[in-house]
Amino acid sequence: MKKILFLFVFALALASCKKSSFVSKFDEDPDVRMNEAIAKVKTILGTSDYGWIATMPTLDGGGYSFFLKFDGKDSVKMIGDLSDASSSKVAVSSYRIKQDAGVDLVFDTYNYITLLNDPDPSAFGGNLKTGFKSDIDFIYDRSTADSIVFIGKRYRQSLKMVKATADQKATYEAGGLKVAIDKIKAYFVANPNSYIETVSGGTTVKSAVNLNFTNDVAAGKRLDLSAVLADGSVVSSSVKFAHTLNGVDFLSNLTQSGIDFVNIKWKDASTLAIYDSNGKEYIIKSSPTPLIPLFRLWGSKYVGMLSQYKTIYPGTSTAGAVILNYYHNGLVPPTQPYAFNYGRINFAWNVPNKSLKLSGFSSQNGGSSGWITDIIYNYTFTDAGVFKFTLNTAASGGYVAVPLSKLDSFLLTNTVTFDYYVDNGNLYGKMTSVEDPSIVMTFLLQ
Amino acid sequence: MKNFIKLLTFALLIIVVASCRKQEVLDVDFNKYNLDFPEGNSDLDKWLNNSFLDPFNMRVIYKFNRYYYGDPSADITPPKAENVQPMMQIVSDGYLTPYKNVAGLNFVQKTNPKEWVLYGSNKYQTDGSAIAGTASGGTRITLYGLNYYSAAPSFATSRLYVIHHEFTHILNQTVAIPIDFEAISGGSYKQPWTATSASTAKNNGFLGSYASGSPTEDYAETTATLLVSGQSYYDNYANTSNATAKTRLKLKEANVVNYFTTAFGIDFRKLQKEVQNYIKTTLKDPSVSFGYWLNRNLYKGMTINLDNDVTYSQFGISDQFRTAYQTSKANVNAIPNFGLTFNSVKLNFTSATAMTMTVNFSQGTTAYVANYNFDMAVTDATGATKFTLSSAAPTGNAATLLTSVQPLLTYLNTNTFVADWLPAGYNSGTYTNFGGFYVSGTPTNYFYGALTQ
Repeated sequence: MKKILFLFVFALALASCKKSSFVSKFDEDPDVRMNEAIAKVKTILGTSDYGWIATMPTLDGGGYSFFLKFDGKDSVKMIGDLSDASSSKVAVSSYRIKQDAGVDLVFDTYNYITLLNDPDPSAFGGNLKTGFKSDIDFIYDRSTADSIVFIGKRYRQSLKMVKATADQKATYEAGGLKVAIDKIKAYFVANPNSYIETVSGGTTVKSAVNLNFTNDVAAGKRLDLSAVLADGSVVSSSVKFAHTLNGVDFLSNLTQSGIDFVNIKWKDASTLAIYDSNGKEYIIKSSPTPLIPLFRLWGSKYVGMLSQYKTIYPGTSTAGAVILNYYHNGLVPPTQPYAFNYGRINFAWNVPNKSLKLSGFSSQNGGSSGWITDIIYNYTFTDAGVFKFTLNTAASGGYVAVPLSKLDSFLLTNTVTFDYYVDNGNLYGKMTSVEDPSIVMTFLLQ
Repeated sequence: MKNFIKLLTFALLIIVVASCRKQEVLDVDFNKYNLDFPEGNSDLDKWLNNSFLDPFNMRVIYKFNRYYYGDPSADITPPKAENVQPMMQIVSDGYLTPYKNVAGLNFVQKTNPKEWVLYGSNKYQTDGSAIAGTASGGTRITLYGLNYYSAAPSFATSRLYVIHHEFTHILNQTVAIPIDFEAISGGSYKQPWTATSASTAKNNGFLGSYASGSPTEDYAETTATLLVSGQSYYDNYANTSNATAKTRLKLKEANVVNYFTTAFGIDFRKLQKEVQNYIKTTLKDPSVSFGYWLNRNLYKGMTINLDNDVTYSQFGISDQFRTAYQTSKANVNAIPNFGLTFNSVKLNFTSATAMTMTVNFSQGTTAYVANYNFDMAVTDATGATKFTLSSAAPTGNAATLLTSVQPLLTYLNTNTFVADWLPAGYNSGTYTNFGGFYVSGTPTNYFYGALTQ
């Protein structure tokens, strides 16, 4: 028994002699490493002689680019592709680099980049409370000899900076970004039906290129690439873009038919081209008419159409206006018994179910709230785009079944085609009766 | 042998125990951590340090720091740097300086919140409403919306209102609200305050829905309204509510005035005049001016009694008016065969556009009046006031005295005046006790009298 006890104590003593000292996984203490990291980021940012060109997507909105010149202490000069003013006038604000969950770059007084973060819609059109969902403080992620990448602290969008050259700095500071933006905008205004050709499986596919240059949160600063494939289906992809001095950069890869497109650049003074990740060039060409028939885009690019209160859009024929006005003017007695002071008609496509919802909205407080009458149709269409509607669910809800009745009977007794209508640079959707081509109605595309 | 084993076992046990005590220290010096003091050495930073940090130990934090703002439902932006100085100038002139002048530097150093955090955008709540300022823990005041800075007085007064409101909370945390304050409202405090309409609140003697929520908010609203919106606004609000509410509002006013004196030795009326002077003179907000409220017929009368009101001997009166007054007085007293005594003059503001000058005189022990009607035109923005004597021939007493009081009638009729709180140096009561007029362009030619509502 005592031997067992002795052996036990002896074994314990032997085991206890094994001391494993604390060995840091790192070669320095955390305070030293943190200060080194902060110093490193400070050095990288401050020592780019000609500043940085930065691009950054926003979580809710499109993409943006900036020219940034850090003075190495606390002052940053900024140019941004947000507006005419921001792209031509240098604004100065302060920044600092501090410890956070990593090294934190904070744009700590107001500048162009803050407009995207502003919770007040009147500042730059962002959403109330969250703006474009964009950050003003960024955590350092990685860097190379001529680039540095930060990640937004709250919304996790990457702010990628590349060192600018002396020429680029001079061009930015002389308002060159605005010149570049104006030039590419003018190109797409002059060539509204731009497209590129890609070869897929031996056939050439045309893809329409559409850029939305606005700062609209839901749709602005994005590029759409839409192709009609051989089977008639439409493939659309969208990417957030930011302006450069020589075109636009896509802020994530735009992949279509297995090709990764990365940017648009000027090939020469009047020719634009899209480039893929291998540097291959796809010249942007121009077509006189929209490339993809409107009816192919129902449910993808366009989810519906709108006839706004008492608004008859250009291109509507007299006979078409009669049908639409029967609704708008019929929102007061005697067409139906109630007096409404606002209303509108919406078409909403449900492509998977091959149905269309026609909604009449009516309001007695100018549109703040109101009632909706819905009619649902099933539809079929030919390859030529001739639509035939049959009733699925008759008018229900709301109070405007009677004012809607003329449009309802039109849809049930006519087959129709859909096409674009361009007036003064504005694009509308046009619905034409096949049986009686004198009946034409135009709508806002949604 | 047995003892030896025992000894050995014991020794081994000691070794085992000792060997278990492992000591490793991770030696990190937190002093070397990046402490994030973002203040730089810009002109703005120097100005802030000289104006606030050095005299008042008050740190102005305008550079964005996420840790001062934790609300996940809405983002917030840092301020535009160019708006920081104008905003803080308002804080200095409309809040710190009045308190410093009236209560003394020590008081401000002791009670003023030590951290002032500034933001550019509003702070939005989940329902979309915006907040202009908050106070927390007696140590921090946060002001939002600096990006909306404008030179218009409404920006400055709205922010000053917030500041004085929040600072009242801080004072209340130092010396508690007098216990009789809550009883004034007779138990009509109710939460949530948003469920109480403005008119209900007014009928119950509150300065708005927010004040009806709790006694602490009521107290802060009362103080801020008296200081920033002004005494005239407060009186007008009370006058346009019901009798019970008016009584309550006047009791609350008296309570606040008394609290400042007893708790902190501060003459609230002097403080009020300091703040109002800034709003009137520097911010040029017409809505606190005498002319503005004359135009709204808040003030119904102005009594002028040069010989019996000590205010005139204390603060003086212009020679021009004294001459007109004393000549008229001597003329009346000298009217033969009547034996009249000229007592005083009162301007009755019967409406926003009409004034009647009443001469009070007596014959023996019987008092009489003579009334002269004027048209009155007051401009809100400038306080410019023009009296025009009615062309209708006076009758009765007014006819009898007409030639005698002509110097006063001429003085009023021929000059273009500017309405103001006169005498300028008045400091022995509420600044709205006296009001007057000076000749436009000639501030040394003026008169004033005791106001009635």
